[in-house]
Amino acid sequence: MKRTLCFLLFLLLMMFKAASGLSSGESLFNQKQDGIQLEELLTLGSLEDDLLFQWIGVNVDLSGNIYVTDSLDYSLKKISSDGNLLKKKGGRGQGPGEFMAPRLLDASENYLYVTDHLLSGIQVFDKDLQFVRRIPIQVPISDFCVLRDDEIAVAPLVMNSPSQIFFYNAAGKIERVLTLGQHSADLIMDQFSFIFDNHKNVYVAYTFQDKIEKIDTQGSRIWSTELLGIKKVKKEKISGYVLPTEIIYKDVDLDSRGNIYILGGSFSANPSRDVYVLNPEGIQIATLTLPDTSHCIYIDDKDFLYSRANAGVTLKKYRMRYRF
Amino acid sequence: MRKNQITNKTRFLIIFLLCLMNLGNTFVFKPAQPDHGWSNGKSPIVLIYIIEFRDILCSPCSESFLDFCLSLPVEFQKENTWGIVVFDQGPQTNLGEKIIAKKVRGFMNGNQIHFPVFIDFLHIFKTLRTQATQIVLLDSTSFSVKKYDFPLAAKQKDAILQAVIESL
Repeated sequence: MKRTLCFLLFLLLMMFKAASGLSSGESLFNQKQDGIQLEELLTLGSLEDDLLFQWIGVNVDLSGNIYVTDSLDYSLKKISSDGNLLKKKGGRGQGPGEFMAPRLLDASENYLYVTDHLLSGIQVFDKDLQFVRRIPIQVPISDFCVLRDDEIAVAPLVMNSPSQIFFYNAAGKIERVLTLGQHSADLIMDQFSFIFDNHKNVYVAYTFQDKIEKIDTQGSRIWSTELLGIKKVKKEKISGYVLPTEIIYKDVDLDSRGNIYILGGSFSANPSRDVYVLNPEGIQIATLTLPDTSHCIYIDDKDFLYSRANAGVTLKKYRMRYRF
Repeated sequence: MRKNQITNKTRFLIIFLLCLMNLGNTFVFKPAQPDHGWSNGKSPIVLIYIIEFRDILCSPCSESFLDFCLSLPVEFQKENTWGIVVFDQGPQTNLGEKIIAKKVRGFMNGNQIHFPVFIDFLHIFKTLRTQATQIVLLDSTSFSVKKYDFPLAAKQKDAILQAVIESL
């Protein structure tokens, strides 16, 4: 009897060990996946103040000043590195420096470039938020990237055309076109976010396709990968058009090491919070999870990560601690 | 001496009368200002906007509504217009309500909206909702209530504007 009891106890111990071994394996896996820790450094916009109402675009200069577009009060705001509002410009309208739906924001050394969902072109401001000029671009802009003041890469938001990046000069004239790949038959399925590295390779994250790509300056694909194994997205008839309604990848950015950060959408384990980190060769090296859902991610020159919280009334700045 | 006393009495009376006139002019005897009778709530028209919260978050969706309501005279907006923000019923937290309140505040600030806006946290107005932001026109002269969805058709816009202008 004693022997049987001892044997049973031994069996229980073995089972417990096996179970704990599995759980430690899982935890190791998670730790491996969670190769970047986020440390919150700054919170801009509380539920009570009037700093941010619904920020959309963000950019940070070398001094740490933060620039944001805010679609609810039609503004462009300059905020100091410690979170104080330094300047606010804009207002609802279609005149110089005014906005109807301010959206994306990018910057060169001296200027800020702002798109508007309802107005054509890109408005240019200096770093004191003084309106400088408007670049006349007729197509609606899905994403853009300022390479130089005289070279602005634009992904147009078009219903039925191949994935292309147009390079505009400061006068709004197209200098060249980069065609990224084959054209899908379905409307807006080729929409994408993109970012250039220092060698002018472009990293492309498709909004409605499970596809991340690295393309060289000539348009040749260096690599292509899928992270989630999604073959189809849900589509609905909207105003007579059948359009995708689920986003796979929301945004893409790079850190100073050349690692690629891709914000996942509806299909991620943590929708709009999971950020997949790939090395420059396209191998996934980590996944980090934002504390709150975000529509975009932004990484500044010092590798601080910025994302949204509280449905856009808050912007958070994080330090990324690498474990690899 | 007597002469001085009379003089003092006279002075006192003059000062008293001046004070009385001044007070009267400010608080009691000020005549009613007839220049904008409609602005102090005398217009028989009242407009109530039932504003879909999701339209506030979407600039193109609120464009028609904003263009219309901002085209009305500021005094009419202040005195004869109200806005009620409605949103989908769901699991609500205090945080959610605060976010909604902040976004509505931002929307009002950004658009210089002059009329008072209320947020229907209790979903009292849910039965009135359609998919769109609406305008409810109350006309006390004809005892009528009319309701329109945004974006307004040109005819609807003209009819409402005409009713408002005629009521001023």
